[in-house]
Amino acid sequence: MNLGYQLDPAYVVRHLGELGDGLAWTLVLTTIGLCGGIIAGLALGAVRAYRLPVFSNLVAAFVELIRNTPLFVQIFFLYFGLPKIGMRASAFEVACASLIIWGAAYNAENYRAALLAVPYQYEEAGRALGLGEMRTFWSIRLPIAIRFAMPSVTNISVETLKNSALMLAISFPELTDTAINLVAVSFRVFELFIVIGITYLVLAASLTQLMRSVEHRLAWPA
Amino acid sequence: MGWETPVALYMMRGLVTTLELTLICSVASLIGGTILGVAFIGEAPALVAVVRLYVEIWRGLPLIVILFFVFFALPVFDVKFSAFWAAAVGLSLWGSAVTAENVRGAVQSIPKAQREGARALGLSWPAMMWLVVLPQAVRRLLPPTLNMLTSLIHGTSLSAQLGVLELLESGRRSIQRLLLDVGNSHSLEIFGAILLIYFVICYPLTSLSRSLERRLSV
Amino acid sequence: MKLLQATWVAFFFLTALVLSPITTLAATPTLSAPLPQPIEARGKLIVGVKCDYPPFGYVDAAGKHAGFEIDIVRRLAYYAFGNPEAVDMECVTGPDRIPSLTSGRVDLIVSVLSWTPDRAKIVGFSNPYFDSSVRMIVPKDSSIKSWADVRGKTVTTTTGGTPAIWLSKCMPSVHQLLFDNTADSISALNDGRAVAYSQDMTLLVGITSKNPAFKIVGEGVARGPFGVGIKLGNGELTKWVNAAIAQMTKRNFFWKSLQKWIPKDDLSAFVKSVPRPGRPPISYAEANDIYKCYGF
Repeated sequence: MNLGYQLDPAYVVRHLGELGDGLAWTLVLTTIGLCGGIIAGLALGAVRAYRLPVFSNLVAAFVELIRNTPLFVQIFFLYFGLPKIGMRASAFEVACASLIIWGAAYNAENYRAALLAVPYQYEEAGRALGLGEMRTFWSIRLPIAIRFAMPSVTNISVETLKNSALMLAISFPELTDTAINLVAVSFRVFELFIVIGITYLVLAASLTQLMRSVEHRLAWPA
Repeated sequence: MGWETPVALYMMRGLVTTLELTLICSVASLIGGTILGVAFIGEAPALVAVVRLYVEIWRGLPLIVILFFVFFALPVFDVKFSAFWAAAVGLSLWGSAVTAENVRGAVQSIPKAQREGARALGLSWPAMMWLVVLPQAVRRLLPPTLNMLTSLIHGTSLSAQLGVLELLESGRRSIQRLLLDVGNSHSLEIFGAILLIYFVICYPLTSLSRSLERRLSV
Repeated sequence: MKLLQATWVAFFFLTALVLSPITTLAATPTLSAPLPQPIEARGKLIVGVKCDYPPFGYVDAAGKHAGFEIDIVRRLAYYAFGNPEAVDMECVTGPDRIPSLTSGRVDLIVSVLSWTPDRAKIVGFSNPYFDSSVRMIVPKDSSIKSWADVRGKTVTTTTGGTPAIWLSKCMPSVHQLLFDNTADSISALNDGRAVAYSQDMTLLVGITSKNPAFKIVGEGVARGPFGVGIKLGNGELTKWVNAAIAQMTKRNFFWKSLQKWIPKDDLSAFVKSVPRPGRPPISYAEANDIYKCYGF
């Protein structure tokens, strides 16, 4: 092994504070992106499933745009491009907005498919019981669709966690950005990357476990 | 035509690099991923465990962390890559892990009765895979593979952070040069154009993937 | 007869004397130290340079490398192989310039690398070729005049650069907005995300000469002469680079090149910034200055 310098694990320990702050910001971004992406995705998916005139096409265009372009470029566009037409947002706002937009576009497809997959018998049963259209949606179709969509939504949520690392592009101090800044002044690439690598793997595994247990608790009795 | 022409020419160079990187990584991911995928569904528990570890690591890490790791940290083991090849290696590690998982999913969606029937007829494991399982798996693999390719194209934009002169980086450097030379970076137009180019490249892939998915599930 | 022979000898001798300066100018000058064998065998240098840092290293409209440091790199290639194009220039940024060197990806880095005691533990430095200090630019109408005025505010600068190191040590109340390239920082300043952009004074002069919306303020701090970065322990290459720098100093190469890149009106401020023949050499001794906080 040829490091070109002396390995010093204590370096990471000395900077645990900064790395901890970075981790906290990663968790904040992931939570906001995850929740926002699910709620917005659900709304957009419903618009598509019910084929609301005009809006359904707009949502379709939006989803195509976000899914066919890299998130990395979207972030640059929002942070460096939009100020040119007067829309200047802070790094935090751009980070949250880009994650929510991305999550919503991908979840829209998940929820649209899930809503359409709910067997029509259940809706008929609801109508037969005298429930109005809105009640049937909220009490019957929606809960079932949410359960159907869970596996795909779990995937998107883990992707949101990984996407938070891209915010180094706009100098937002999440975990990867913090690590890179430390590398720039200390050159301790190996120690820092091993630590953040393990951290992300643990976070991804934890998030997956969390969402699977939610899935089980909500499970549709087969 | 003021600033647009040199920028457009420079970005064409970047686009060529993007396409080169995509091509190399697609081939490596498909070949590597298929080999790993076959090992994954095999009957040797040790091999399955190793591939499972590989898949979990390269799919669990953010792609940008993988790229930084290959570029910055691997040189410690005397494994040095230029920025372009570091990006190629990183993207291929990710792509092959996703493909291995896709292969596993596609094969497992083929009814077990097929495999058992083939074995009952006296076919060896390799023959069974080659004659019975893989031909059917390939059809089921098309949509997820197209999705993987689309994500790969998105992923090449991350190599800008390593300094690879692909599409995004060529746009960023043009913006930097314009800002310092003439004071106006034209960032809105340039980033907008980059989004448009990626859209034009990826839309056919995702449309195809969607229509194939619909046909396969009918 | 003897007189005739003597005249011919004298004639040839005088001709050789007259012609020799011309031939030495045409031939590659032999430096006082040899080029290390591995690089000699490769036939070209690989050097990490800045691509976003005028007037030191940037990329012009035609996509070619240009700048004061690029001139130096081409001169090094000329000394090494007689051909200023015998070099691969790789763009490096603040975070990756030193790892590029330590990993062996490049032979040298000529990328506004200031000497600091911490960097000297990981990277070898040649003799200095440029001396400068760190200041700030602010919008023309800003009320900021001194470093004391940015306490507690947001200042943008380059990741891993000398201003970032100085601010972390001396003004921890300042929130640093870090980017790995110049233009993103300037965009941030333009968009009001930071109140000031801090960098080496020479870069700031280059910016304000093209961009009258900014002005340079702040006392000069963190003086750190630039040196060529060389892998630690490669004494042979260090000797060669130092011999090349000595030769360039003798020919006043640095001052002549700088004049191409700094606007005439600002040149007087840089008279002491480069090595010149007949003047005392720039030394790293004052570079421990990086940690002098001047009470800010």
